Amino acid sequence: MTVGAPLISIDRVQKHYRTQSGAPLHVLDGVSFDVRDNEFLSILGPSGCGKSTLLRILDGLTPYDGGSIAIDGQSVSGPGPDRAVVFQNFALLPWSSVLDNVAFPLEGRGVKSAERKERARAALDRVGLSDFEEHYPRTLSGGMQQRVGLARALVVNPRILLMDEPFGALDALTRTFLQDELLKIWSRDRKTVVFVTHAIDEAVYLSDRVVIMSPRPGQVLEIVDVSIDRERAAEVRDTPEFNELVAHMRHVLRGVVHPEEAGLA
Amino acid sequence: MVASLRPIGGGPAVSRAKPTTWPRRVLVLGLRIGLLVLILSIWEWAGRTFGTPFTFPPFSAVAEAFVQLLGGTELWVSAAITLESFLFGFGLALVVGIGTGLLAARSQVFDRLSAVYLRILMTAPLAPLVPLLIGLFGIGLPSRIALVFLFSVAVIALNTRTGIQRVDADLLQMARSFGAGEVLMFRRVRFPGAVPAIMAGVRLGAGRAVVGMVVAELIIVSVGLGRLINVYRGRFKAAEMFAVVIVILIIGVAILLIVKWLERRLTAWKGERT
Repeated sequence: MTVGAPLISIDRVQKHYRTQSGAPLHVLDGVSFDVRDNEFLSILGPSGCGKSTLLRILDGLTPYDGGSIAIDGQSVSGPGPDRAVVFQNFALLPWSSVLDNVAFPLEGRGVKSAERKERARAALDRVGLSDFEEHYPRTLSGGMQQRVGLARALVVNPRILLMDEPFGALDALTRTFLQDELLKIWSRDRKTVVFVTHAIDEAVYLSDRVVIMSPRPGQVLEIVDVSIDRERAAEVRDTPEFNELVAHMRHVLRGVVHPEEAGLA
Repeated sequence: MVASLRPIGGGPAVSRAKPTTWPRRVLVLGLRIGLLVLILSIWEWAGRTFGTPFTFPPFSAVAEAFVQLLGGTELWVSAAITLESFLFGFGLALVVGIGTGLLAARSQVFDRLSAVYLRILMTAPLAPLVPLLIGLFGIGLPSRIALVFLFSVAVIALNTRTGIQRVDADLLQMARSFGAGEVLMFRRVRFPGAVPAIMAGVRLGAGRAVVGMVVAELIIVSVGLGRLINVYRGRFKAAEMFAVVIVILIIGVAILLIVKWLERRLTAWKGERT
């Protein structure tokens, strides 16, 4: 294992929103955990537990009200070139070709046009979409669109990949296919990945560790080590280890999502 | 994914027509031609039955006059004079309208200030402004340009503003996440995202500009095709007068077709074929 020292330190982070009616909404309550270098970490929780908010905070898109977040010892104050996000709804520019979409993050960084194209082609190649660079996003399937989204994040060669329920909008078959693709890509260059999901099996299948969060206000319920060998393939899903982990996480979540059912479980 | 974009007059962001199949297209085309023939037949019959060459001629007489007018030079010269006010007035409305819309989207204060006047321009009848325009610009080309401009500028400005403001928030967040500055954000996200709404405004503005162009010649000063209409009316040549009206209709339709073609080209990424 090449998992190393803490890269991201999240310490007692608080986040409040104000709703339209002016009522305060407590979204994150004292969330603390570390993300280690080269680690694939998932944040698992029910809808509305603040896991996507936490990811936006990590990216620097959203401010937080208390605690601290440091990446490599540096406090997070805004989006930076060390991080790239893969968005749940793909967030592709519909008026730009696939190639221009992938090259977009380089435009703000003063990379020359020729080099932008070259790097975007290389990124598209990694996700297997070389033949589609001139296509418009709407002509691609959801799975292909998200591969474009992944290529766009990879093109800046970020140290940390932040993935916000990236496969949540896809059908089950496409989702498992893209999970394998992601693992393949990840096993090659071992970026640090923070992966937000509400699907338990997805979290277990992909991750080194899973942070389970409670419903609002989001708190860390448990951090689970996924002690399954990293060379994972679809068969892993059928092993007892895998299913035990899934069952355990379901149990933890059930206790908080439906408190009245806890005794029955 | 589809933001509920509702610029004035809808526009391609809203209309999601089913792709028409071939047999249906033929049917629609056939019905259109049939309806036109029916209308013209009724006109022909009414002209022969109730009309006179001085008041209401049958369609055949108008068609004859139309062909004759096409052969002469007077029609072409008049049409050129008429189009002059359209080209300058509408061109100015494009520049000022889009510019005003962009500024309004940028500054809330400017938006609050301009919105009132733009709404008035949109809804109030503009003919009462004509004496004011004549007082300002005289009765020459500048007055006609000003009227065309006033007719078309507001809808372009309002749609541009709305288009920029309604750009998909997820895309803006994505751009911010990837470190896009204001200029890049505008060039690659805000403006392209607003193009469908802007083009819907341009299409509606073009229609209003055509109205302004005709109104100017009928109530400010008798030049161009408007003068031809007055001349033929004065000589009781109703067929020729109607022929000029038809020319104006054709010009109006042609302008709208050009704008619609441009609109389709600029929003091709939406994948809507009509």
